[in-house]
Amino acid sequence: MKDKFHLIKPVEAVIIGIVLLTAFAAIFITNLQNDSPQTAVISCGDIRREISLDKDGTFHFDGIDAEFEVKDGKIRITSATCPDKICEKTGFIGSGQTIICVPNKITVAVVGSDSSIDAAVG
Amino acid sequence: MKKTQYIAVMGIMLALASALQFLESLIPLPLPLGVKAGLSSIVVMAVLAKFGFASALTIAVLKSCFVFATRSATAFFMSVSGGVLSVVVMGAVFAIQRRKENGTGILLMSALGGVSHNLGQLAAASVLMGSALTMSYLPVLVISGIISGIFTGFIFKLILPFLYKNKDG
Repeated sequence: MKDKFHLIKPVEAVIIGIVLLTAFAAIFITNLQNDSPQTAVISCGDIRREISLDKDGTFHFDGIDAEFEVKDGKIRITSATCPDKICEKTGFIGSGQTIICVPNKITVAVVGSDSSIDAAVG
Repeated sequence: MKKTQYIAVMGIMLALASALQFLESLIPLPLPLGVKAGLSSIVVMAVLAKFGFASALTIAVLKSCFVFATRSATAFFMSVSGGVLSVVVMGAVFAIQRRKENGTGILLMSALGGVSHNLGQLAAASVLMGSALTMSYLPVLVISGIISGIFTGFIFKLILPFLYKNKDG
């Protein structure tokens, strides 16, 4: 039996379009710049470190299998031991953004100093 | 189709899906979050259209077993949750739309398949990390899922004529 196929119908295009627009709107909202001083919260299992993003430099923490670089109020992971390097490719992140490394269980979240960190992480 | 023929074709399909997935992992795209085109979903869609849901699910799970053998348990968990959710969603779209006269909308099926694959992986990542922080990747993964789904949908459209070429094969 030959099944019938078509590429796309208007109603289907609308469904896809709505999902796309919602996703773009979500990105726009989360990327709204926050001018308050930023702090990066780095978690790896039970280890938790915070760095202020005021000063540039490179950082390493015992027990966390990666290095971090802070520049112009943004942070990135510069070297990771995982094979995929997805965290490195994420590049610099600023306010409201996150880097996640699944193999090494590392998360980096940038939060404004004035906002509650627990609310942002939880 | 004879049973032996079915087993042989499924074996070829599994090899094709695994090979496409592996080749894709060798080509790094300059995109964040390891975003990929998801070429192996073309094979999954072909199996779904030709042999039905159970066969497509089999391919998806066995493909993830190949990931387990070549990479890691973490990669397997990510792969199987994305793969299975994607097959379930594409199977549902296929089954619902096939009841109507107009038939299956390829791009809707593949785009929703792409999105659900990424959502499944995201859910797996959240469980592995024990953190809801992963959900901040949601919008980007929804968009990339749609784009890669549309891309693979177009390729699926191209191979469709060959899928039903033979009466029994």
